[in-house]
Amino acid sequence: MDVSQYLDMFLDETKEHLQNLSDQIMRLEENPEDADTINEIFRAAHTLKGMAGTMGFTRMQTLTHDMENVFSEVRSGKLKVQSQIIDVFFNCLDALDDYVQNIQNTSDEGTDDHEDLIKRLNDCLPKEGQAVMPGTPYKKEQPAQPSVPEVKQEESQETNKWDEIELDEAIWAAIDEARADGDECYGLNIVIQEKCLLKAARAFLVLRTVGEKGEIIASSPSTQDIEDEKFDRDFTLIVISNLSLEEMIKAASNISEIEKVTGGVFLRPGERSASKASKPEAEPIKEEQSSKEQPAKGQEQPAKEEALQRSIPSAEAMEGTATTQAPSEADAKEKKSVSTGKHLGNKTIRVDIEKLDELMNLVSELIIAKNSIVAATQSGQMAAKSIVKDNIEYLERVTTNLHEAVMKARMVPIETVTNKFPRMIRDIAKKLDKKMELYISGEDTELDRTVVDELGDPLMHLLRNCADHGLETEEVRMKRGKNPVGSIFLNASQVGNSVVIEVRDDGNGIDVDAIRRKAVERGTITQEQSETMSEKELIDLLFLPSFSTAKQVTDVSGRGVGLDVVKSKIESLSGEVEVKSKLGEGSSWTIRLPMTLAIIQTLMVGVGGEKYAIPLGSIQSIETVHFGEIKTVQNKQVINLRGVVLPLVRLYEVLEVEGNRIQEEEMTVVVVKKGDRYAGLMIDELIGQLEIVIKPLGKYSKQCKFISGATILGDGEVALILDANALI
Amino acid sequence: MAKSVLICDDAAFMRMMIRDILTKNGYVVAGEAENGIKAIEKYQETNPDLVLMDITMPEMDGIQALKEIKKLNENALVVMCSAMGQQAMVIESIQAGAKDFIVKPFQADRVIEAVRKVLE
Repeated sequence: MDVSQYLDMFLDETKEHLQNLSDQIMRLEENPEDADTINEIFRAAHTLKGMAGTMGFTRMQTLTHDMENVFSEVRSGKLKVQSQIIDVFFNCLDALDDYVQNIQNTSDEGTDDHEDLIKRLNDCLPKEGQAVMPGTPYKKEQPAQPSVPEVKQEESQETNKWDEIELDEAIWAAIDEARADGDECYGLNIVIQEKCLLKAARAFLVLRTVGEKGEIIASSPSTQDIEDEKFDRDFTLIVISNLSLEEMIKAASNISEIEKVTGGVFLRPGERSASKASKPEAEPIKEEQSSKEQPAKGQEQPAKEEALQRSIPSAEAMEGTATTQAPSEADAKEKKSVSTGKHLGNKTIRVDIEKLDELMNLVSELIIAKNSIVAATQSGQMAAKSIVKDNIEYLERVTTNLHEAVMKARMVPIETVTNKFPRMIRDIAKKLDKKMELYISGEDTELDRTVVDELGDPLMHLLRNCADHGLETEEVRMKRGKNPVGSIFLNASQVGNSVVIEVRDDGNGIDVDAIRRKAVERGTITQEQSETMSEKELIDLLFLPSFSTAKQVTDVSGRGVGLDVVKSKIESLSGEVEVKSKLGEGSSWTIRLPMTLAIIQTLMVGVGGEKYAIPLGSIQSIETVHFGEIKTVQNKQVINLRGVVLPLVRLYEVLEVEGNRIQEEEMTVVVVKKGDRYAGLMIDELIGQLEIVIKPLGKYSKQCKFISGATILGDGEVALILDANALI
Repeated sequence: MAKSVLICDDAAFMRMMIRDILTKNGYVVAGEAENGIKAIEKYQETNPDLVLMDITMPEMDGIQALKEIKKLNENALVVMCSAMGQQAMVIESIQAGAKDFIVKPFQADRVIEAVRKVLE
């Protein structure tokens, strides 16, 4: 069975389960006795095991199985949850994460067995119980039934196994009585297939099926031993039934995973000599084969025992799977050689069926509108024009809704990245020996999937910064009269067309003077510059690559680990980062991201005969400014707008186009904002509001700092999209 | 007419796989359920010829769901899906009336063998 087609789904679901496990274990750490949590962990581990096994990832299967074992003990109350177990489990989750990563990149789980983890897991188990599941007789008593070797011997002598069973005279009397009533007494020997995994359950099913057709009066081994899996591969039953022998054998052999059923009329020892065993079964096993097999199996027993105990499916049990694995492995290799990218599988997104229904509904409306237009062109001249006009309005409405619906389908809650943070903070807290608590809110805020995927790393950087450098140690906090447990907040919310994510701590805040000293020392800025720079400008220095890589700065200011990476990542997502800090009270990092990157509402403007689009989201207002209102401050032209002084940007100069350079009495200024900063863009003409589809400019145009993309207008003309953030 | 099967498993991945195995072999999937409660609902709704029931599921486990379904229809045909190490639970479900069981990791021929034999 080729399983590679299920790989994407397997990965998606496995990640969900791992996240769930992580959450539940965090919860368990807080509340070690909670039965629901323990059940949930057990179940998640169990499901993972089944999934990994089906995909043929045996290492992952082994690890999850051992995790499940530990929690099985916890669930049955034999094991108490201690920090040691929690730690091992978190390490296991990391190991599973590695497997998943490997599978995602190469479609193979890798070769790390994580034996240390498995050993640690097994160390958690109560000693006397070993790895036994409650009520599950994995561990068979050794030596086995004394009768078993005897029976084997009998087999090679070609006598019927059921003749080995000795019965009390009382039972014989019952058999005689049954025969007098027209019933018959049979002996049945049932051999279970070697690859059968749950032999006791299989045998139990046989007992039940046979029991429905007649009365089982004796068995070897005893029914209790059969249920406890104290038999090798076969067992023998004595049954009284009113059915024929053939019917009895058919009933038993019709059960799955039964290799062979033999049977015969059960007679008193004295009457046996003449009667040969009737073996209606088509394929009796050759004696030599089975007698060779038996001793070999006997030697294998201890090894197999151990394997079963640790519950790695033994080689023979996995035989079937091994063959099925082969094609998928070959497949994987083939894929490996072809794919150069990092991800093997396609990126999938799971969409709520309701969202798809909505899409379908909108598409059907589109078709109706199209049909109306087709009909209009075929009808009379006069009516056609108004029908087309009506339908174009209708089409406009539908496409807007369609856009929204598709957008919604692409949206995922940022929860998918934030939910791994509690665990991360827990680990950091342990490592740094600081007390801290992470509060997350607004995790249901939705963003485009592509943005969410990229958001994990920058947020992690910021949180780490807060935990590592922002928060003070417990003693310092006590001294300062703060709560000894530090707080880190992660808030997400939707503001207009963008999403704002704030990472805040109540720690020490950023020491601006330290930055100033360090920047001068390092030659990033001159002494004079440092004196005129505002606090904000100084803090912004932290985002410079040259600054953040310096380790000493981290020690002095407590900031600066990879912040340039954070900034460039967020900017590549068309977002921005801002820092606010108050010494002694904490700092706050704000990330602002557009909700989507594909289609936006813009204001079309004309500059020097060219058309440009300004995203509506960054526009504050449109003003008519009188020439006389322009003032010059520090060689820069500014205007005073209702008490706010904002710099004026002459777009035709910046964009180097033939602009309307003649100073007119009045001009139109588009006021754009970035965070709490504003700028006025001087344009030639206002064209109007338009919904546009953003097309990337390609890598040759990366140099254009003020252009974030291009779009194709209705008449086929290309308009560039201005990046207002870059202009400020 | 093709026989219909109700698939109950908490892992969507597993359900998809079983669905593929069944449809490739000419069976109709009556529905899918991700927990025991849904399984009972779907059973009443679709009245399938056979139920494939995972043992470990949230909300209500497969054994409980099996018992409930048996209460609704004592002739209901239910095949349990279990993993290694759930022997005791498999035995319990056979006692409760399960007709057969399959063990994860699944092999397509085992799934089909069980379904075919039980439906015969």
